[in-house]
Amino acid sequence: MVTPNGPELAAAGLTRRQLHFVLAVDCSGSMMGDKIASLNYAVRSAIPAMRAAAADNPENDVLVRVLRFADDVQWTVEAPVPVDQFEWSDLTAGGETNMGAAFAALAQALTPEKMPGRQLPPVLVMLSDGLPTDDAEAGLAAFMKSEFGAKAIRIAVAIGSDADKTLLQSFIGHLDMKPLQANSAETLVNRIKWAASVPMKAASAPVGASADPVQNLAQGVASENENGGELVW
Amino acid sequence: MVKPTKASKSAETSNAGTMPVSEIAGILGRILQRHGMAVLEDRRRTLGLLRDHAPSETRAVRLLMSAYDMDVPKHLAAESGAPSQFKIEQEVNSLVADTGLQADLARWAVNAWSAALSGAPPGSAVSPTVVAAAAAAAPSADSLTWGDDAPAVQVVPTAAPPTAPTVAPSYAPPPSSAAPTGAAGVAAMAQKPMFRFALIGAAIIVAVVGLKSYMDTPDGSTKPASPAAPAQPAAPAQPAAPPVIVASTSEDANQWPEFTGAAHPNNNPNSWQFQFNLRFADARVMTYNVFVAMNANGRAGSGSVRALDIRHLNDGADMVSSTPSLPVSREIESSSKVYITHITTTSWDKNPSRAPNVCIVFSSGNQLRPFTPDKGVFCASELQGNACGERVGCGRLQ
Repeated sequence: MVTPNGPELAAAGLTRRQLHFVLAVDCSGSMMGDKIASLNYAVRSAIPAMRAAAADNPENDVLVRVLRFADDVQWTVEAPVPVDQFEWSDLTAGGETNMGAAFAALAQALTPEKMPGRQLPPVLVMLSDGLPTDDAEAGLAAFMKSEFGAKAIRIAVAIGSDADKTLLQSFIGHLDMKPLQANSAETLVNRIKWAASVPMKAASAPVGASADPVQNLAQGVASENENGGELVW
Repeated sequence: MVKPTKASKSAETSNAGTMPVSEIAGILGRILQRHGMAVLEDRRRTLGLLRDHAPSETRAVRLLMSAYDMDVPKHLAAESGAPSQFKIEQEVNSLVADTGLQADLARWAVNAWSAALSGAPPGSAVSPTVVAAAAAAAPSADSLTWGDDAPAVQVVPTAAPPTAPTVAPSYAPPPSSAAPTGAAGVAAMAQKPMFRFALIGAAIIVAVVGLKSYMDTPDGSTKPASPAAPAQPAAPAQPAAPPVIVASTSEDANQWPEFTGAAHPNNNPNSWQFQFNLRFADARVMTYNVFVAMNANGRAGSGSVRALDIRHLNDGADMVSSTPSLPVSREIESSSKVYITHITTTSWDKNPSRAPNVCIVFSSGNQLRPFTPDKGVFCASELQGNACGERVGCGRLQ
């Protein structure tokens, strides 16, 4: 895809807008086995839906990045990749849940310096089953202070019934929008497909199309969670 | 990178199929080594780390966190060195009473925390034998032990008052046996300074042997080692065994014999341990050892009872009967502050001595203050069906 994003177009206000879609994936030891396998399958199978959502708004460029965190934090897709070039490499699990460090890494990456040009609110999807083992609140506070962190549409998928939903709720930062709950492989696939496409559409919706896109998303999340599926995790 | 561990079956695995104590203790130990003890102040972090390090052990993690929520790690960490077996049992009893966990699961969790916190192999808790042997080093040593896992048997209370009625057993232990006869000899000879010195030496040997046997046992809480016969000093010949004192059926409390050795284990005022002898209608004399730990509310708790037919004193721990964790109830008469505590042996984990089921009631001997192990009283009656029947005997505790 060619993106006419030159300085002359920017000056004219005619540059294409970018929508950064960031997946932050908990790859700690508690994700081992069925959970990480389901997650890999789910993201892989969600890619067509992501592309379809991006295609619905051809005036925007959807760029994808992936951050994994466990003992350490690592961008597995560091440079933003256009969604139609995005490919998923399976992640493995093991280690502790340094979610605070992940928030800090997101804060460092989501800055105007590193995201030049016209930007739509980024979409951040946090996938976690666990309880942070570092100072997650400090990391989250730093993240919320960052310009794009605060403006982002933040979605959380709680994998398993005993994920720390309180912290995930703090990450979302919107009282009406709850974490998407995934208690089985089947529901995880559905949640990730939803999280990878619907928020993208909401973020790229024309101004005025909805008074509060997050409010609409919150209703969508509630609707998704109504169908809890089988309780496996 | 953390390498989560899969469970493997071994002798340390509890009945419920949780992973071996040594394995989970190793995981806990690594967590504590990496993050320090301060991590235990943060429940979310502790749980998160356990889940990350033992992802396939959902049940084990829940058991450990049940113990964590009852402050078991805090209580164990407050001990200096490896927690004593008394402490372990106390925590197990509290956990059973407060959470409804099965005793074996509670013991698994307490042993795991204990091993991780002390850095010692699981089951190396200081056993009652060691405690008893250490106590024997005192000049007034007067007890022997049943084996590593058993509390001291008080066959001959040397402090029995002269007026206490004594009942001679119809089956005196053989004079050459090391246990009751030795106890009598020890009691009689303990007044001599040279003998005391020898006794202290013997006690230290017993302590070392006892500790080593526990260290060699995979799970010291469940498999007692063979009984450690106290080393006999070479000096004086043993005098004949005195009569065994049993609880009295008299209605007159002044006639009740005294049984020494009642104690608050670990100086915890909510726990008691005492022992006494009962003669049953079939002429058998059984020694009962009672351990009780009350909850914070003081009105309920849990406890356990061990029993031994004294004819088996020389047979070691194999003949010790023991109950699972039993409920304990207490009536508190607020006006007079009389505390009456009940424990009944409704079932036995093992009962090789064929100990009869008994209802045991103990309380203060003085109506002006709550029960204390010294100067308390107790009565025992046989359990008949679901009711406490005929009284077998009463006594006083010193």
